[in-house]
Order: sequence, then structure tokens, then C-alpha cells
Amino acid sequence: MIIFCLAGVRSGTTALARCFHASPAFVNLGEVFYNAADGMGEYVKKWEHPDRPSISRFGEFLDFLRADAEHNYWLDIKFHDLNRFNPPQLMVTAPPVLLQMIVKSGDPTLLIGRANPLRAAVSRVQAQRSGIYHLERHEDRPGHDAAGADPAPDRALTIEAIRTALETKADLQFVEGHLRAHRNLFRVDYEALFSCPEAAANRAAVGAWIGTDAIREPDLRKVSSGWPDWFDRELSARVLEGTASQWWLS
Amino acid sequence: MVAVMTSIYTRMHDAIAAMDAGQSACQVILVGVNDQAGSAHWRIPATGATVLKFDALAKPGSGVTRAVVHNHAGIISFFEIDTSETPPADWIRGISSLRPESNAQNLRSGSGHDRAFISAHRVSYPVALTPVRSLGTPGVPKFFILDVEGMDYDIALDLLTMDDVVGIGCEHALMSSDEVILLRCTAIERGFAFEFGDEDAVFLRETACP
Repeated sequence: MIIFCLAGVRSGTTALARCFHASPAFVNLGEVFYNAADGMGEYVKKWEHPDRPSISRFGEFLDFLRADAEHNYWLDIKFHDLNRFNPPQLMVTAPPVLLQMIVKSGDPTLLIGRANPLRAAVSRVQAQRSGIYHLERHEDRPGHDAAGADPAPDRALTIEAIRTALETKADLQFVEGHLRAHRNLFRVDYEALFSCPEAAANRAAVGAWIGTDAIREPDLRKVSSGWPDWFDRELSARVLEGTASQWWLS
Repeated sequence: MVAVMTSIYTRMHDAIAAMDAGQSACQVILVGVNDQAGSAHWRIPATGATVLKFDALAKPGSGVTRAVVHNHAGIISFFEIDTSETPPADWIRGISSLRPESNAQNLRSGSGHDRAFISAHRVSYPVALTPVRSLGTPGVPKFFILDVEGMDYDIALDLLTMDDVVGIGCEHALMSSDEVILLRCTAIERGFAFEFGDEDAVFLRETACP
């Protein structure tokens, strides 16, 4: 079985997948198109070689995984990769072909959103500036912290984070719209998985959905309990004041 | 609500008066003055400021240049049409290409004078488009006052990027939450202070463009 995990950047996909590592049947292939900490981008590139990337070749790869009945393969696909196989002549309003393929396949698909996209955006900006996307690679480096490098509030970065939050929200709405026809979809928010009183029960529910009850506690060190120093909360409050998004700061 | 609106109109009025009193008298450009500038005293002081008025429904001889604010394929444009006694037909084209659900779109099913005026005319041919941003004299400080029925976001966003715009007032602006946020972000990036009411907003230049 294969399980698609669709999400925007900084949605806790890596942390969630690692919760299921104790299950012998669970195989985390990580980010399909990138060599992230748990990524398999290089493997996919070799698979596609020497042809240029195509949806048919990727489909063959998925069939190869499906043929293994003993394991559950977890494929992490970020929103911005859903259109990577789009032919150039595709109409601008057409859904991404990869998304169409996922809906048509009916393979179990987990869609992780962010109830508070501003948190995700701040985390993304932080990660882009520091180059640290996953903690364990750098956790032993003292002082290697992007927030520590710029203790003063930064207006430009704050505005960038707010713009990114709106893009994140729009991306999620777009993907949600196209997944309505999916017959085996599990929709959950990052906050429900990692930062609410029922988080453990919600992770267990996802585990049961993919057929495992061996669930580890997540590494919650990355779950921010506050805003980084560069984030200007006062400026953000002015920008969000009176809008439906003002609660993002609470 | 009235207090907030008054506050914003007062901000427009005071900002223009301050510029007139100083060394940087500005051109005041009203776009979409459907009331034929009848309420302009709210926000335009009786000073030496040059006031240019543009309106889709203005009658010839009223001192207002008839025009249409046009939104097509994401490009916000504006075109002047003749001010002869016979109402021209081509401005209907502008109305028909507004984004869906905007207030101006609903002018087609409006009432009274507007509906009669619109229903009496039909599109006959396309006309050249002139962006709102090209109104006024290049290089001269400009204060835009927009009353454009649901297109304030698009037009204000465009105007905020212009170096010679010193202020923008939006009256009865129908913006979504996300549009308000993006407009405020751009205003901050371009050195504008802002104040929002329920339907109205004003942007005043604070600093030179970064």
C-alpha cells in the first residue's frame, strides 16, 4: 500500500511520519522529489533517468511500490510539487495532473493543513534564513539559531511572513477543492496533530487509518511556543486588525 | 461607524490641506465621483489644489470628465470618452468586464438614473485603455480619491507603487480580508501610513520609497 501525504511546507509531515517508524510495515520514503532529511529525491531522479520526468514514469514507480503488499509506503508530496508533471499546454484552470492521478488512484491520502498559516509562514521564513529545516542535523551546534542572529524586529521579514501565510492558505484551499472527489481522504490540521490536548489521540487515529498502533511520541522541540525575535507582532497586529485573520496572532 | 468614516475623511482633508500649506501642493484626482463631487467638501479643502474629476456617469458640462474604470484580465485601466451631449456607448464595455460580484457589475441591474442610462446604451466598439496611474501630471505629487465600487483594492495596489503618489483615499471600498491584508503589506513596504474604517480607507505617504 502507498499513502500520499500532501501538505504545504512546514506542516509537520516529517515529524508525523517519524511517529510511525516503530512499525515494521511502515516505510517512510519522505519527500518524494527532494533530498530532505527524510527525502528520496535522488532515488526518483535515478528512476526517471534517462527520460525527462513524466507522470507515466512516476506512475510506474508507484505501481512498483503497490506491488509490495507487506509494506506501507509513505510518500510526502508538497503542494508546490503537485504541478511538476503538468504539460505546458495544460489550461490554467485545470487541476495539476499529479493531483488528478492521486484522486483517481484512490490510494489513502492524508491532507495536512495549517489552521494558523502565519505560524507555518514564520517557520518557513526562519528555516529559509537558517538553512535548518529539520532539527536533528544541527541540534548539537550551539548558537546555530536564526532567531538569535537578528534579535530586533524586522519589518520586511514580518511582511514577507504575512504574505507567505496568505499564499499558504490559498494553496490549501486550492488542493482541498480538488481533493473533494477523493474516496479515501484523511484531512487534518497540524495543530490537531501537535499542539492541542487531543494531539496524541489524533495521531493515534491517523496511525489506525494506516494500520499501525506502534506510535512514537513526536519530537516537539520544533513546535514553537512563541514568535521569533525578528517577527514584529505589533506591526502584524496592525496589518491583520479587523480582518478574519487577526486571530493568527493569538 | 459614522465617527470612523468622519475620521478618515478628515484625514484626507487635513492631509491635502497640509500639502497645500507647505511646499508640496498636490493634484487631487477624484475617480468615480458618481455624486458629481457633491460630497467633495468632505475631503477636499477650498485651497489652491488642482482638482481633476473623472466619472462614468457624469453629465456633460458638470466639470467632470466622463470615464470608465476598467478591470480586465487583472489590468486596471481607465479610459476617457467624449463629453459631448450624446452619451457615448462604449463605456458599457468597461462595466461588463469588471470582476464578478463587484458592486459595479451590479450597476447593470441598478435602479433609477443609472439603470436607465446603462440600458439605453450598448457596446459598439473597443476603445483604447489608459491606466488610472497615468492620470495627472507625471512627477507632480498626486492624491487619488477613489469611489470605484469594488475595485479600490486593485487600483490602490497599483497606485501605491508609484513614487509621485502621496495619498490615496478609498470610499465605500468593498475589499475582502485578504485584500485588506495585502494592501496594508504593500502600503508598509512603500512607506505609507494607513487607516481603515468599515468601508473606507486612507493611505498617506510617510517616507520616501525604500
